[in-house]
Amino acid sequence: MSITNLKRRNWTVLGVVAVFAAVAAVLTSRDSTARATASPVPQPALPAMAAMKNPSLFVTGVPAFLTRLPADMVPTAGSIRKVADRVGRSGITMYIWQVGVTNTICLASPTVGAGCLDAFRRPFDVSITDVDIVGEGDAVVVSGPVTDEVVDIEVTVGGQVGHATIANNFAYYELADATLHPDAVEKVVARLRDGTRFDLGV
Amino acid sequence: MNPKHLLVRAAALAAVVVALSATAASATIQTYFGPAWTQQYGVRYDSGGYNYPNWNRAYRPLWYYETIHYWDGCCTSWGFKRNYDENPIVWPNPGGYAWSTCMYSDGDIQGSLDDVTCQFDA
Repeated sequence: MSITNLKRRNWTVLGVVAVFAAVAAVLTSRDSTARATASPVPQPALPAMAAMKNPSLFVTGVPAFLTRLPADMVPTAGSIRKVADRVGRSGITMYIWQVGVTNTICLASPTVGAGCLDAFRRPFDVSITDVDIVGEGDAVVVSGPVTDEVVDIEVTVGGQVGHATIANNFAYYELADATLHPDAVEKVVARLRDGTRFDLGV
Repeated sequence: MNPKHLLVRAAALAAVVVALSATAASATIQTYFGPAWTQQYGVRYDSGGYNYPNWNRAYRPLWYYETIHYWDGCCTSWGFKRNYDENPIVWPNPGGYAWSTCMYSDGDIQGSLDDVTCQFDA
């Protein structure tokens, strides 16, 4: 193969790569609200939340409610932070603690349930809960921990968009109509600091 | 008795006591959807009877949409939690005499749904 042919082939390869790059750039720039069901790289939960570095959120002892968790989940005194204190119409209280020396957190609330999270696969660890009879009493709640990148959570119910309250890396939104069931939540979108809109795919 | 034998017997006795204590401590934990099962879309797995559960818990090997709640065996659900990412997810406040339930309900499956374990403590 002559040097001229080799150069021509190299230019051809470069051209193909450039076309692919241009197509990819167009596709990715078309919609910043691309449906994303998981973060490309899961973020370890603990360092993703500034609230978990805030010493003023620590509570003394172990609140009685937390002692009723499965025995292997009960946190130790001195490790528990209260990130929400009787907020909203249904009075949501949320505790979060680090599991041992890992980046895993556990969270528990008397009204929106409990769980453990090793990493954020999406910026909002969204739970949809109803503390009492579904469709009666207290309304359905959309809530959970968020990463530091989250600046807004949009919840769509009946075509109307509402905004969650966010404080101490904890977001919550209560449906206005307590007769609605969890399936009434049509869409949940997290808006990030860089302008990205992340559809939670609910 | 040979002191060495005495020591061995004491150690054995201690092991039995520890084992019995552990059994007693976990005796109330019921697994109603075992690790050898495969969870089906939209199928409700439940405790198979009424209890006064203290909590309801679901472990899943992978990330997908899981729901745990309680129901009256007929018509009404309560103590409802649906989540994608937590493992386990727990509902610690059942509110009374109920069936514990655990269900894959929606969302994007990432791999196998094997090895889900649902538990309650009553």
